[in-house]
Amino acid sequence: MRRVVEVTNIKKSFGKLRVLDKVDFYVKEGDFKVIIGENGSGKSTLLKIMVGLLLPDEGEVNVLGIDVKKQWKKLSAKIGVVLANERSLYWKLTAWENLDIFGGIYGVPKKERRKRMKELLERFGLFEYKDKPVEDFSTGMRKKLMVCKALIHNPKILFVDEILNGLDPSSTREMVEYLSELNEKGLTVVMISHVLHILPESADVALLRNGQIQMEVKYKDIRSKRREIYEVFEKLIKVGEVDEKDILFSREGYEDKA
Amino acid sequence: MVSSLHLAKAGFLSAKKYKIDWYGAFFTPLLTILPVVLLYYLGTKSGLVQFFYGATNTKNIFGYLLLGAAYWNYVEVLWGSVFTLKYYMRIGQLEEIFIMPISALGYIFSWSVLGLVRVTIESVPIIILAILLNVTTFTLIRFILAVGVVIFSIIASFGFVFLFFGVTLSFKEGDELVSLLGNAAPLIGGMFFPVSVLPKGLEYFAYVFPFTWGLDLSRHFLMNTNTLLDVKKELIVLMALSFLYLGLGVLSFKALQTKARREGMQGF
Amino acid sequence: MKKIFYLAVKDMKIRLKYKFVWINMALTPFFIIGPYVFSSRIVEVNSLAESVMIGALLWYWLNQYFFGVGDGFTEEREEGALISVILSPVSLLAFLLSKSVDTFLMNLYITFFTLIFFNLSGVKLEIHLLFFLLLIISGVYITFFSIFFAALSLWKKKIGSINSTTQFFFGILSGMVNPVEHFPHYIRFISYAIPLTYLISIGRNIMKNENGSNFISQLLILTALSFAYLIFGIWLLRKAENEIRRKGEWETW
Ligand SMILES: Nc1ncnc2c1ncn2[C@@H]1O[C@H](COP(=O)(O)OP(=O)(O)OP(=O)(O)O)[C@@H](O)[C@H]1O
Ligand SMILES: [Mg+2]
Repeated sequence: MRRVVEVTNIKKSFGKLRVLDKVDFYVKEGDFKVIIGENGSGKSTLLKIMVGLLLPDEGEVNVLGIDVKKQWKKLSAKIGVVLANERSLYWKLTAWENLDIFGGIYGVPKKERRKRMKELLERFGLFEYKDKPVEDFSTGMRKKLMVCKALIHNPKILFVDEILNGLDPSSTREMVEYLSELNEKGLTVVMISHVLHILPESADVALLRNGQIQMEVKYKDIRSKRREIYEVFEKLIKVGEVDEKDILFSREGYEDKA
Repeated sequence: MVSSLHLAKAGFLSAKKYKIDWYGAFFTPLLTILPVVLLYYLGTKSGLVQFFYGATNTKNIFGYLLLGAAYWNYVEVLWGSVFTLKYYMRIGQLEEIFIMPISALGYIFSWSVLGLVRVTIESVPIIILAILLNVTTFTLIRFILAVGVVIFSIIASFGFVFLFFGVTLSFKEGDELVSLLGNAAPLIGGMFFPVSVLPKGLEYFAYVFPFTWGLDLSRHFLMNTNTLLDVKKELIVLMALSFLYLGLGVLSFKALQTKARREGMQGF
Repeated sequence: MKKIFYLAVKDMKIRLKYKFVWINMALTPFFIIGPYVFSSRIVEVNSLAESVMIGALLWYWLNQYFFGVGDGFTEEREEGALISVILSPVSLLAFLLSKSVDTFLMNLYITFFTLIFFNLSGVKLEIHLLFFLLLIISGVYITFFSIFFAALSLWKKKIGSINSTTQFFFGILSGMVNPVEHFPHYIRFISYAIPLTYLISIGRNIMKNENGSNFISQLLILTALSFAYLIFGIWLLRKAENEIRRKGEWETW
């Protein structure tokens, strides 16, 4: 499979604070990548660099063969992005109007747009609220609508930052199921998440720590008979490693980043 | 009140980050009158000035306009708190703000205290200038009377703010109301010329507006201009209107706030 | 082009959710420029009032563009939706152009009512076809000028906050109330760098029914000047965009 995201040797500082220090990261077509790490470790920064909102100090970013540093607007029509900020929709407009306008901006022809809007809203159980202004939505409803917005133009890659926060248990499961269903149909997903107990079996987990992607491991390999999965992740994120005993399929799960 | 001072401090600290704002706000009222000053100065000078003297009993057009600007500053500065309210709605922090242990009066106070300080500093030179241009008519008694008039005007102004607050909370469009009134006030309140010069329809409007009377009186005390009515009668009108508006404002605020709390305050 | 249309539709849809805004827009310009017009009419010289009114009306157009386009990023940034537009395949320039379309429509609405109100108060402008042409030209050229200002305030944030102060200076310097010929030399230099100066002068010529030859040359200078602002504005917009991408301040600035 070809690499659809290639981030090489990225450095990024804000003033004196070095956030990313030589990050190498790539995503293959059809991957479901989950980036994990402590608060403030630079996950959102990395994601913003991948979509072009941020320029790295050094290094190359290539997404779908496009040099993101230079041609980010060209890339924008091919990817879907959901940032952590919940206010990124037009609050005064209804769900339907929001999707219609963003669909138009992304160049989706009217007929197809209407069809997709209906599908997406129905899929997320929002169809009956389609004429309600977003300001009257609940937090979880807004998150779902943001995902609809990001998918309206059938992107090739979906970048999402913490969309599982604020969803109720069954919505969380449905969201993950939906994303993994899309993933199986060919959508590449890059997701930042602190919710880790319910990721799709096929996911790859990348740990961002001390400004680098320190290790990648298959999600299905992180299983332990001894402990809750939550504890395993806590240790992984904090210390940067897991006990051999908490890994199901030996060391094959790891990819050496060095 | 103590807690609203903390809120005022937050406003002050944020304002410090945008120094240039201060400078902008400082000049705006002066800038509003500048075109008119120029018009009189560079335009058909003699005719305009002569007419002006006939209508007002002063040739000091500049002082007349300056005093108008200073007066409006005081009245309007409180209204600015409505924009703050709307701002918090827009950035989605209104609910956080409203769970603080502060009363409506506290919010108005804390969001306008900065403005009041600024206006006072800014008005001192204007007032001194206006007085210097009218040394002949100045006495301490008259000055105190003028201050009294301004205080009554501020009471009326509070009435308006309460109404605006209520409207903003429940219909969200209070800021539009404020900006319309704020824009209309200088014209119909007589900041630029006596209201008797206005087209008739507007002139009647001017008389139910408390600030028309307040401005007319403060000019009279400081510059000895003609008044619309007999001075004593006019003072009574001003006081009556001030308390009337304050009462109406507070009542409508209470009603509208209840409505807002019933229907939810999210959105903007 | 289509994207600009969708964005402009969005602005209109949002505005339709409010009601009082429409009343405010219809009335406010009358009150804002009223003092200048009525002051000039105080001695019953109607020609002066009309000339001031043309000046003030065009100045009000500029104000609207300076808020709508020049300050075009602010509202959506504060509300948070700007980031979604930035992430979409819409360029900053296209975004500003959509604001300009919106402002133009609003200005037509505003002007309609303002003319009516002044008419009712006894200040009447004769409306010819040329006047509408002038409004359209103003729309285009003031947009260019505002794009320059928008770029400037995107690049140096603080410039945005002197927006309304600047507008007053533009009004005075461009001869809204007094013809620029009355100003001292050095001030006139600044006046001639402001597109509004030419628009007002052309507007007054049209009102006085003077023959065209007089304002053709002004129109040419105006065109050259406006395009210069546009080009410089676009260049600055690029620069600002890259700066923000480096600092990561799309959501905070
Ligand atoms: N625009 C900015 N200017 C200055 N510092 C920034 C900026 N954006 C992020 N930072 C800093 O960079 C660091 C990484 O931030 P980032 O948002 O990438 O963290 P994160 O891993 O997404 O954290 P979280 O899990 O809390 O979302 C933080 O220390 C943050 O303060
Ligand atoms: Mg983050």
